[in-house]
Amino acid sequence: MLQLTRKVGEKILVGEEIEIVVLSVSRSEVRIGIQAPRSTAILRGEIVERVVEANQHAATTAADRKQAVARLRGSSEGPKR
Amino acid sequence: MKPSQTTVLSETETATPLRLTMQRGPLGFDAYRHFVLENLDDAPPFKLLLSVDDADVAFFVVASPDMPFEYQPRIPAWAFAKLELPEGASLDVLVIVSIDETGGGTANLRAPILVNTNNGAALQVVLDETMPLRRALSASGRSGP
Repeated sequence: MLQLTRKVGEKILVGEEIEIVVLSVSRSEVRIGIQAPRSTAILRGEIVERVVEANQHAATTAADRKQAVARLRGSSEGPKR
Repeated sequence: MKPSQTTVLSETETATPLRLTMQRGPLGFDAYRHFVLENLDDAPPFKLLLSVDDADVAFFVVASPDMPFEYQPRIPAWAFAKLELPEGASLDVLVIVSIDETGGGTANLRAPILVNTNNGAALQVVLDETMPLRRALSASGRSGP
């Protein structure tokens, strides 16, 4: 991984269209500004990890989903206890 | 989920499955880029988002207007751009649901699948943190973060 040392206000350019600037630094936090094209998604890494986990939990195999459909059918046929 | 009192066979339920193409698959399933969206006639309003490449990769989804509670998320500008749509254009929002052993389930309101219905382009978007990753699929219930 490329590592760079920057001071507050200094920039990093990624490709031709993405600009990252260090806005402020405190003891354990860095505030960063990012300028990128409109079609670029900018996401916090830990949130993406949680979505990956949620997707893995939701994914269903061919065998699983036959049973799940049966359960869905059952649950929609009457009120839940 | 609200029990349906009447069965209405709408046009979409009889249509051939919609084919979806993603530049990058759902998060954690990045390599799975081609899906079909099948109606589950046995269990409306659930649909199945099924990988074309691997029958063991599929997700149960519910279209946003069919959710048991109001769900009209604000779509970020980058998502419209990726789907080659003008900002604010209409698109389909599919919510991924996890079905539990009792037939109940939770909906991932944080990261729905967006679909450009004109060309079948789709992507999974990650919305802001006010949207829960797991909300119970009952009209009022809530569970998880």
